[in-house]
Amino acid sequence: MPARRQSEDSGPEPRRGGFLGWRFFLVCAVVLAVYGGLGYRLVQLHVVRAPELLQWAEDRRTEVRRIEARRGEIVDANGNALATTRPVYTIGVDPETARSEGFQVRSIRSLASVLGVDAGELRSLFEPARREAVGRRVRWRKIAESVDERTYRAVMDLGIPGVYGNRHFERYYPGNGRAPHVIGFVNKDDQAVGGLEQAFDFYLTGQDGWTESERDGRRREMARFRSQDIEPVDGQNLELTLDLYVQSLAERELQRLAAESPMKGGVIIISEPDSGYIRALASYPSFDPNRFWEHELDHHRNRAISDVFEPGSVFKIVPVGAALDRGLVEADTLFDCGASVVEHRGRRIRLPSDHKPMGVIPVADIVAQSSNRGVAQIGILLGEDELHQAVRNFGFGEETQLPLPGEVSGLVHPPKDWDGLTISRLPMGHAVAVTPLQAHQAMASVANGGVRMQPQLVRRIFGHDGRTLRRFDPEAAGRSLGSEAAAMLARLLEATASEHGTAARAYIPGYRVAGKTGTTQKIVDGRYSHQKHVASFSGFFPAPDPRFVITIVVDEPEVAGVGYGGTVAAPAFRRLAESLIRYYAIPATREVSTWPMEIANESPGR
Amino acid sequence: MQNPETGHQVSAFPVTFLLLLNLLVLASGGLGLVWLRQETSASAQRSQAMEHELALCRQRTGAVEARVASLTQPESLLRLARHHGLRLEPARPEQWIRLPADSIATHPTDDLVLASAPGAPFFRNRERLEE
Repeated sequence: MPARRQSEDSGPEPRRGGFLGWRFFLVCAVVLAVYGGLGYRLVQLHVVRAPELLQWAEDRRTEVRRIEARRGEIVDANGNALATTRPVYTIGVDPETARSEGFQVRSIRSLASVLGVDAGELRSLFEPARREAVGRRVRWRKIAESVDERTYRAVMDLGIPGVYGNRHFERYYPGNGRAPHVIGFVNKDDQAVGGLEQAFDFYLTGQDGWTESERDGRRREMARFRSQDIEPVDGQNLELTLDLYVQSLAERELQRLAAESPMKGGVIIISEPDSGYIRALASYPSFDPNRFWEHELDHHRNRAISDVFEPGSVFKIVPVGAALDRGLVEADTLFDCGASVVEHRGRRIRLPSDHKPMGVIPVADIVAQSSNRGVAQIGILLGEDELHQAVRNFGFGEETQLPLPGEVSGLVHPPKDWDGLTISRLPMGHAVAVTPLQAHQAMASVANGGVRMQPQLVRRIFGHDGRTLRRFDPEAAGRSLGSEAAAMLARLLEATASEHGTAARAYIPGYRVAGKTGTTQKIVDGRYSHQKHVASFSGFFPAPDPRFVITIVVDEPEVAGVGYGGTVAAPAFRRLAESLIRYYAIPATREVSTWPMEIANESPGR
Repeated sequence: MQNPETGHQVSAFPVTFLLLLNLLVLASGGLGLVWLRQETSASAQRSQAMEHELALCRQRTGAVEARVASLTQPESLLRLARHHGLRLEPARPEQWIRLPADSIATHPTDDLVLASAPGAPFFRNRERLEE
């Protein structure tokens, strides 16, 4: 009690009560401030930033995974794959994991051996590093790409920590360069480039599927929370008219021609005249679509449809066929091929020269001996308009509508743009530019009784169950000649591809072969060159019911002297035809006369 | 137990029973729910594993198809034939026998055509023909 009294006397009570009150209020204020802060934060998180944070959480939790659809296959007429899709892996390393879990230098050597890469370079990829820009450690370095399943398994079997692969589908062309100009390719960005890959991309590309689900803290999918599951739909398949073996024959023949006499370019087309189905279409120089980036862009060009050339004598079937069709000449009609000048519409026209003096010869010999003067006179007989119409009827000057990108229409001038010499030069295949495919289709129409068929590369589009979705049946594109004129022209062309004609090297004993050679001087600096030629041959067999039309065009063959179509292209025709005879077991035909004079005597006018 | 209003004795059994029944239903319902979720999860995982297997099979099929396509290329077959020393090659022109189509039609069988060709290989009807 005395102590209490003392304290009452000393009077510090109000001060102590004030201090306690201050402390009390301070604590209350702090508590309130903390609660206020928490409240503010709660309002901020749950009200102000709620939509943003909810979205963030949703994004972190939700996993949308794309399931890649498989691109459709491209197969040949016998079902052999020309383009397919295979799974490949991109092998990489996480240097941090490799270091933390410890890797053996010996393992790197083994890995280098499996992948076929340099061990020293590979070692450097395992060194930890930081990305300067973002200040983070490097967690992935690519070691190799486009690694196949077998190699990937071998890599995984090494069990190197931090080394793993990401799988994806890659377009693969099993032929490693078989028919690349027809098929095209798919580039690194999965874009179809050129060929049927591009033309039929709509059908070949499938529809990717996707799943939407949630993932756990270790980013693993929690399958029970899968809310969307859309299956991918694989692309449709293409069945081509090409025959892999025939295509192989054509490409090997081009390689052989290039090996025998180096050339700037070459084209071989093999087709069936009655259906228009193309069995082989080869262009030289070629490329490997699996490694398209290693080849020059120039090699990617399909010369069969993108390049034009003056067809030369191959074109002579046009004026001769038209004159026969219109009844202006018969096979035995005589022309004076010794004359160097003729009169046409009151003008004297100088005729082109021949490779040898020929004198007065019938139409049959004009074709067999490939007389420029003779065919020029036939062109003059037809007249500008008729000749121009005949050229158009054979399909020149317009695209063939082959389903490949990059086709050009060639160049056929209308008569109003012709100069004084065109009427005598056009019949021999000058003053006109055609694609090898157009020349081929013109010859195919003669083989098919005058009916020009639409060239076809795709026979059908089918699904994975084999069901046909769309079929491309043979289709007539027009008529170049009447059937009788076509049959007579075919007989005349038999004389050309015989021992009596300019294409004696195309002749096959036991088989009736018809065709026409062409040798064109190229225009260099505005003048016809004596060094640079285009040698060609287009023909069919076995007459009179041909199975195949073969066209060979060789651009600038480097041979001693002139690279004639009869010496460069005709032997290639024979080799190919002999291979086709074996492959398709084409029976021999009865021998008939190939003497031009005797053929002339078969003329119905006699 | 006694009812406070009437003063009658009331049995506690039904109330206890209903209470226990409720608890039992709730507990079994809860356990059932857990079981259901576990089963759902297990099914989803099994389904995921199967999907993975299917995807793997699809990949391997693709790889095998690509390999088969590669092996059936004419060049590959020729290389294989050479590698195994099979001496398979296209027929040489001197091995050919050319017959016109109409002459083939006159013979009843292909064997007879072969028989008429000089140096034709042995065939089953040779003895009969020689007789």
